[in-house]
Amino acid sequence: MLRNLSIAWRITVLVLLGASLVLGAVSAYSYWSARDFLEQQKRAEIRATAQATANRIESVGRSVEKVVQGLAFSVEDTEPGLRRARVLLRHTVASNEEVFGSGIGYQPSVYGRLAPYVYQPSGIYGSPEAQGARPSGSLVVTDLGRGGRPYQVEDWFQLPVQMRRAVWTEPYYDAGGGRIVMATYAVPVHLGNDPVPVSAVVGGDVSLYWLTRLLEGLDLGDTGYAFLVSQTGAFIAHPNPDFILNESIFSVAEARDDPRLRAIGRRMIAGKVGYVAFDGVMSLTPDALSWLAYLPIPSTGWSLGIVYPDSEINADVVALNRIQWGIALLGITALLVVAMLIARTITRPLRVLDAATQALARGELDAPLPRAKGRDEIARLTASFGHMRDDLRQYIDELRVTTAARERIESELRIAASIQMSLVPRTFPPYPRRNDLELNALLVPAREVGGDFYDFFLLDDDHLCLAIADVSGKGVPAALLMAVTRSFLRSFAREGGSPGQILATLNDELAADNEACMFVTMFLAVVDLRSGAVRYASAGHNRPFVGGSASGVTQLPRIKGMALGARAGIVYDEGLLTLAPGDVLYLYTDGVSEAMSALDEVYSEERLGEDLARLCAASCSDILRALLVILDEHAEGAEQSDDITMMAFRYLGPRAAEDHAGE
Amino acid sequence: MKRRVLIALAAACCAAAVFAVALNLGGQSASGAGRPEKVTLLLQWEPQAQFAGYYMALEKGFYSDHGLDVEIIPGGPAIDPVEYLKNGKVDFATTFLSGALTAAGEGVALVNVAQVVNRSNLMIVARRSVAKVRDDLDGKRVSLWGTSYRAAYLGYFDAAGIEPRILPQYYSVNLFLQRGVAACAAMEYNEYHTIMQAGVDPDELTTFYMRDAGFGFPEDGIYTRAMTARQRPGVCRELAAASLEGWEYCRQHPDEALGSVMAHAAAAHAATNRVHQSWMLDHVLAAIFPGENDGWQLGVLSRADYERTRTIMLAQGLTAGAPSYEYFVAPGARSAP
Amino acid sequence: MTARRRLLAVGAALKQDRRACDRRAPGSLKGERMDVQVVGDVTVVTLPARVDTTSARDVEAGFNEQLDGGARNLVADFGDNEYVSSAGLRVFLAVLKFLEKNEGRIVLCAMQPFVEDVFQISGFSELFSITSTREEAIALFA
Repeated sequence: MLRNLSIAWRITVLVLLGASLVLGAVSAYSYWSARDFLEQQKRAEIRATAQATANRIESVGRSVEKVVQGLAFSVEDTEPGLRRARVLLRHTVASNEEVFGSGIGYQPSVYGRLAPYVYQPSGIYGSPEAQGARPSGSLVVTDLGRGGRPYQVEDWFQLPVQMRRAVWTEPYYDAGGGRIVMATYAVPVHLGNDPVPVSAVVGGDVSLYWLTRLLEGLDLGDTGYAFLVSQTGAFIAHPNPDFILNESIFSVAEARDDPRLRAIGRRMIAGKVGYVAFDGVMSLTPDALSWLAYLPIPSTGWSLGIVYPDSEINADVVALNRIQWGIALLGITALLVVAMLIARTITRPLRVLDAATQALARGELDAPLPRAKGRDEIARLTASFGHMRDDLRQYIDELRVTTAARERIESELRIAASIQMSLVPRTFPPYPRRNDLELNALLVPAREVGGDFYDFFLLDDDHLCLAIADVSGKGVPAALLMAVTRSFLRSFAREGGSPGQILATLNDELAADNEACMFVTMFLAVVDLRSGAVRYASAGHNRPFVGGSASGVTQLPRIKGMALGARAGIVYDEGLLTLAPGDVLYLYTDGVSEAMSALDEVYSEERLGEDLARLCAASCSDILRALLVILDEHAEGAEQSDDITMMAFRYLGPRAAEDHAGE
Repeated sequence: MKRRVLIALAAACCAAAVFAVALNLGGQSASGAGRPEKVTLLLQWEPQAQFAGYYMALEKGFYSDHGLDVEIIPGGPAIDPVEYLKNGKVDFATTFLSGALTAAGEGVALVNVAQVVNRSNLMIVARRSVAKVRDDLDGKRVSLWGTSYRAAYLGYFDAAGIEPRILPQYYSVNLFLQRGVAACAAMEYNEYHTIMQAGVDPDELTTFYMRDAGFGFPEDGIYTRAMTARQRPGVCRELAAASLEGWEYCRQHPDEALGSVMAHAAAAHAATNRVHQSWMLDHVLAAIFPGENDGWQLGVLSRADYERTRTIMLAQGLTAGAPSYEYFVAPGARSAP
Repeated sequence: MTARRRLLAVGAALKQDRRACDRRAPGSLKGERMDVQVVGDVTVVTLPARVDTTSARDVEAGFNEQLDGGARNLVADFGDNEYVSSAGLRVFLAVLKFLEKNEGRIVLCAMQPFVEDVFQISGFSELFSITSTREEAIALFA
């Protein structure tokens, strides 16, 4: 599919794919490692925040303890009366901002109901509700024994009395005192010789309102929160005000039927430190996965919990990731633009080249090429293309010239061939009425006409002239020479004379004005048809074969005679032979004897003789055809380089007297 | 057009139905008179599911159905129901049978018009690490509530022959939670669950149920002065009936009852949560409505239970004397002879 | 008689054309140069293995180069030659004719029997001086 897109798009797509993969991998890795890292960071942060907050609360608890213990010691030591007690209490509350209120509860069985109590409604640890109408800064002095419920049944009194030690009470809503949620540090004292183990309980109250404010002030992200549970797991500070004092971590666990949360609560009230995953404590229904870091407030026995929703931890990572993806997207968009631009600079010249190529293909060799700017591959391609076009133009021009030339040559060859063919007799049998001879000849021209020819004609009723000739050279000049030679031959032969004389005359004629130095080999024979006597002469030509089945086949002896046209004034010897009836005279040119096979083997005159010996009993046409087949087989597909010309003449004996018609 | 007619028809039917119901409701009158009787009912503690039935009876109009215009007064640590009854501050009040018997011994003549909570919920909760069996409590610090509530416990210890060191217990179990005592008194429907809600697992506790040891006394009942019982027997009857109807409603609609309880608790600034009240409601209902194997009747104080309670209290010196069954229990709350 | 003269005229005209055609025929340069040695005032040309239709032109060109350069005493060494066709014979005939007109001489030497046979059959052996060895051929110019 990718193949069908343009290069520009392919580059763009691949680049973007690669970039996206890389970016994706980078983002994924950074997300996971950042997540881990940030988680750890967050965890450390939470722990640190928790520790710092716990320390803060602890410091308040400790300082209250110290204050109350100091006060208790004073009371025990000085055994103050009521007025003095009130002074002490005022001082305690006024000079200790952590102490919301302080009081001394006397054992009713000894002192009657007596419980002076002083508190500071305003101040940083007070609650706005408790300020009432009093101007800020003023203390309220009261007695807990008056009105309301008997103080001696309160935990702050009973617990130290029964346990004979200082205690931090569970947080409670003090409707009689400051009308706030508070916790009390209560210390038992023994005065003088009182008959009871505990004479009074000295207590200092810590307002829990400021705790909620403190926890609210923590920077816990958007969805993080903190809470504080008492020694029994009751919430004493919680973002949900309905939970405070009403719910405990155990009641929430029970409402949710969550044993895991109960277990966490038990660990918290056992004063353990931990960092766990849980379902939050924001409401009675489970929240999303959250992380809780808890640690104890040793002095008061409380436990601080800081909660981080898992998504909050991831919020940073997600935000980071979002930014990353934003940048990545921007980057990819920019990449897209850049890639397309670059791709275009590549493909634009390619497109122009393509258009130019198509124009070229249509034959418009002058189509404009893009200018090759620079030295990059595109420029080189354009330059090469230009060179190719120029070469192409040149080649086409040359081709035109050569084609024209070749066509001329071809036509010349055709002319030569037609000249040649028109000059050789092709009607066989040539003298059907005559029964004293059998004659067949054939000429298979080579591609480039070789100028061979054969000829035969009756000089008179009793004399037949046979000729076979091989013109040197090829093509039209050879054909023309052949034509001239044949014409002269016929003309001179008819003038009379013996073969030798005819050749001499022919030679002189051809030798004159022979600047081209072409020559013709020829074998000329005149047969006396009455007797079978043959006079012959040769001008440098191949020695013919003669024979019959009875006498065998022999080659005519060599006789002197130079090829025609070389030099004037040559004397030609003559030869004489007599043909018995049935004897065959076989004439040929060297296109036969020097026929080449594909392996450069010549057919040779020896083999010709052998084959003729086999064939000589056949008819002339059969002999020739058979030899043609043999030559073809010999050639084995090699191209015929020279004309194959052959003639077979059989003397049948003198004519019967009645047969006159002929020519 | 057709729709409007149908709507008008429906409205007319509704109006007729409401009218009929109103007539019906208005028709019911205990004493036959048209005006409802005003009565006050004091609940012995701060709002919690222990009193859900009364809230429902009020909110669902059962009291008004029975011709009563009831005002519910919440109690608390500062309010003693017997004292309020004695002083005539309220017409009716709920309190423990043991408390009423103690009052009788002091000469306050109270009559039980309905025994609501028939099954004892008293128990002792101990740290398992300190006491595994009853006899382990011998010599251990055990906190118990005030006098009238101690009856069952003292009888229990006596019968077991053990002598724990008894400390006072007031309004919290923090003494126990802070390990100031080895065991504490608890109501099964209240303090026991509070202790569990303080993070103590049941397997860390040993529980001793008074009712399993033969010291289960009936608890909450609706009481009035004998004089009131004599003068307004119909009101007593109606109040008892309506209250029990309220409890029946709670049994059928616990969620609604809980909602009402939570609303009352919030109004009184009482610190509590819904699961605790749910636990309380479940156990109180179980203590009110007899199951297959339970021997009591709804709303009835059986003679046997009364005699048994009185005997033990007398033996423990927790009461100076107690009247006879017939005198103590209103006719409507008596068991069949 | 008139016919004969006409024929001769046609023949002469044809010869003219022949020559023109010959000159116009496209070349097929194979670029092979024949080995030429100058021994004294004798130019010895060593012929290639084949002198046939394809190589005849190169051979002719080679000879012409020498002749145009003024060589008049030529020895054609057939030591490497195995085959001469009629086209080849033509070349030698042309060279001979030129030298005869320009007071030059050519001697052929070191022919293989087959090649000598060709010259014999065509009768050209009577036109040329043929020696067996190169030295003998050179010696003829002394």
